[in-house]
Amino acid sequence: MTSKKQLSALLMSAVLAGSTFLVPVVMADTVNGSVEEQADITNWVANTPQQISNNMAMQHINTNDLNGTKYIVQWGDTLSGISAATGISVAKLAYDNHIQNINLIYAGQTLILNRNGNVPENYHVVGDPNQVVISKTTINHGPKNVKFVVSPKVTVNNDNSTNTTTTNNDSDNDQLSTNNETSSDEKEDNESTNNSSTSHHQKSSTKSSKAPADADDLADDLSNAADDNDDDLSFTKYDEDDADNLKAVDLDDDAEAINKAVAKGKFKKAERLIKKHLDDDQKDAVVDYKDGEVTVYTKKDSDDSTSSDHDSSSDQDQNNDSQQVDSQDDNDEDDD
Amino acid sequence: MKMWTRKKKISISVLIAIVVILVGGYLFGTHQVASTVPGHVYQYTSVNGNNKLYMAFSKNTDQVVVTADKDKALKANANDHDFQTIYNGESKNGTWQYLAKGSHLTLSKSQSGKNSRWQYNRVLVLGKKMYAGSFTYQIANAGQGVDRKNTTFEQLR
Repeated sequence: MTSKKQLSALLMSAVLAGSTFLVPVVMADTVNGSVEEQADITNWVANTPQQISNNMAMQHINTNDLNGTKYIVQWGDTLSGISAATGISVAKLAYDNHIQNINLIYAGQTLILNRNGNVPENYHVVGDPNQVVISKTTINHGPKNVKFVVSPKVTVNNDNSTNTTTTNNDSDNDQLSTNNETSSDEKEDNESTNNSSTSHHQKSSTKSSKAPADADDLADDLSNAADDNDDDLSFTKYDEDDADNLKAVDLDDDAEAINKAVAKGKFKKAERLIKKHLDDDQKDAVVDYKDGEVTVYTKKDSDDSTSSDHDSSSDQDQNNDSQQVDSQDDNDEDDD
Repeated sequence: MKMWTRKKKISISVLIAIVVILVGGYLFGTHQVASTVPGHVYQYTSVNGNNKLYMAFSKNTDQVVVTADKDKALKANANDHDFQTIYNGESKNGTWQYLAKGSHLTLSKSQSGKNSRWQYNRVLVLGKKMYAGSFTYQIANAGQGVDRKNTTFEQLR
């Protein structure tokens, strides 16, 4: 073989080898995209299990042979959809991937798919498995406050009666329920941060805007925040030895907000959000803090009826607090 | 003042007529979404053109089935009973509502107590297709803004 042929063969081999290495990178890029693409409605509608299977096939994943296989989560995926596509339970997926709150899976994240092994009996997932994966970063684009000229009457079930739920069309500062919550709480958070930094305790003053170092710190901060909020509640740090006597509190959709609040040192807000998910007569809570995620536990009751009570009361709250939001505005002008 | 020739007058008249027809047609087309959408199934094509969604708009209510499954959307359009069955079945993935008015079409998704909305602006209806000039979004736990990208809806049924 001439040197020219050898060289071209070498180049071809390099190109082919390179393409095999590039596949995961290319797949990862498909989940990033521009802000416009990320905000597109198609990303926020659940993929069918068949679509997820197709996505897996594109990543050269054989769903019949899942033994620690890595899957890059795509837009529109849900954990329940991945479960249906792979036959691996939601709990197993969460357990294998150390996911405490399954609402916090984001597009582009790598999931380990493993059919082998079992999930410990005392392991429970938190969150809604039907929730589509979220974006890793905020996808704000254009104006900070967007205006909705037209909007249907939306009934949003909200388990916090203090949260405002809006879809008012004529408001220039029209916000999502979550955004409203954020904005109103944000103000208070600042106050809370300032308060705790100036008056409460020296410890928090030096780290009021920082995440706690560990569960112990967090327990202290939340206990102090409970005092500030006039809540009769104290927090202690999670102890693995005591795990059998504890049960995880379903923080539902507030889990992410709590994590964020804690990360920003806004413990009053975090405490209020946690309090929402506890029974009224609950005076003690246990917190764990790992990898930026807060997990809340309460002591197990003898009849263990608390959790079901809590769930049903939460549902009841949702029903009670459902708010009819009027759409209005006959203004047909374009907002842009 | 110099008098216009007959030919010039005709040309100007034709030009004005064309402009009036175009502007009128555009205004008419951009105010048809409210009467066009109810009771129909649309295929939505994403900003990048790679993804499709299917929307079955209720004729009598503000409910809309928004799904990646084309068959479900078409079945939902068969009759009210099928619509309600599929709408309820899909509610675990969020409940969807819509309102079309003027040149806007807004889709609202509620799930786990959170609401997200996409408002399509300057929706131009041309036959079986609708073109939106931009969309305004507020997505729970994600962000909000206005994307000035064209998107397309095509009526399937």
